[in-house]
Amino acid sequence: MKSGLKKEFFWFLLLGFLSLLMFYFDRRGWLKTVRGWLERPVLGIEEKIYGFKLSAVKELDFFTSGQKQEEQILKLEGKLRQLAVDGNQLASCLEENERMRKLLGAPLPPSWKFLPAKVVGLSGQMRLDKGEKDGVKQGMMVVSENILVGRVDSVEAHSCLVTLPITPNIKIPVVVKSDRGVQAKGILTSLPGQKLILDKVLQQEDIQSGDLVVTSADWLPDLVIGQIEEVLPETAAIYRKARLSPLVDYQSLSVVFVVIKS
Amino acid sequence: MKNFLILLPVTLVLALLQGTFLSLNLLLLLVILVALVNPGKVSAFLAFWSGFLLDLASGTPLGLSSFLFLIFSFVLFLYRRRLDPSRPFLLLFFVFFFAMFFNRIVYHHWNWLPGLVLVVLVYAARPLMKYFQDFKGGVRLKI
Repeated sequence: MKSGLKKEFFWFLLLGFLSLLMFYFDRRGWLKTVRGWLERPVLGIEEKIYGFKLSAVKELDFFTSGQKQEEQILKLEGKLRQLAVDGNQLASCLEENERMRKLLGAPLPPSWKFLPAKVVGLSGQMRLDKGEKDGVKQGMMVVSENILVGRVDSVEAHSCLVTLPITPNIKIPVVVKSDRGVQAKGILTSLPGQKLILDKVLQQEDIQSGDLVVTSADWLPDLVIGQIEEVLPETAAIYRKARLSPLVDYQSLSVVFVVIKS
Repeated sequence: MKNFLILLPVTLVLALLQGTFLSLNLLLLLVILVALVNPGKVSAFLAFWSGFLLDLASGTPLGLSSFLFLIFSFVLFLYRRRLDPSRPFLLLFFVFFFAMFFNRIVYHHWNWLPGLVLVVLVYAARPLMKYFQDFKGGVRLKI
């Protein structure tokens, strides 16, 4: 082998080894302090860039759709969200009321605390400006107006990554609720292109468009994720499928809340 | 090494954009282009540095993107003589595969769309690469 070529190989090997070493140290948590120092200025800049991006998108929307239409859509979206949340709360209250009647005197569930966090990035996963030092732990839920935004996937000293329901191949155990009560259990998955799909619903279950899909007890229960837009045509398969529309626009969120169970 | 220093601010800007909202892996595109124009030491350093910045900006484990970028650069370095002008498909195949593989490892899912966009961008950037290669006066780029 020529000496020049050997030199090139040497650099690839050295840097590759360094990368693997860095990866190992980071996974073991030995780089948390150093990463924390490096992350702080980066998070500051990213927060500004993301804020600028959100305002730019809003401006663009304003020019493309017109102010009146925009206001009307925002109002309607707000009302729809509120109605969906109210409907879910009502259904939960009715159910809880029933349970309370049966279990009078049973201890109340533990209180929840909410930690506000700013969104600093959204590419693949959502990145928040709160981390281990703020009390965030892996597996915690992230919400916005009682609507599920996602679950904390990995935590650094000053930031964390959140897996969203629109992440491809995600599987969230869910329950379908309507004014008729709990209708079905299923699994929420996502397809590329940010499409939410309700899957693994038994054929005999009664699901209709407009029904709400909420998290089941395996996650934090009763957090709204979306609404059934269309029940996909029945096939010979064992399970039924439905297309959902999320109740929150993940791309436009700037502040969310991490649920800290105390 | 001078070329590498020029590219430092570019990598920083791209890493910050990718960390915030850009889903297209432009850093990977840059690493591929530099590996084609200037294979060897410079491309290795750029791959390492770009990966480090990307991990820092997007919250992924440090070293992961660096390692993947280094593998991609190394593969292009090995196949640099086979990237023939009459057969650009090998290069485009590599780009598509790299993008898919990167998505699978870092984001845990296969996503072919960004790979396809990168393929189009690399195809469109071929005259630019040739220009830089001629300007550099080194080994002619064989695309």
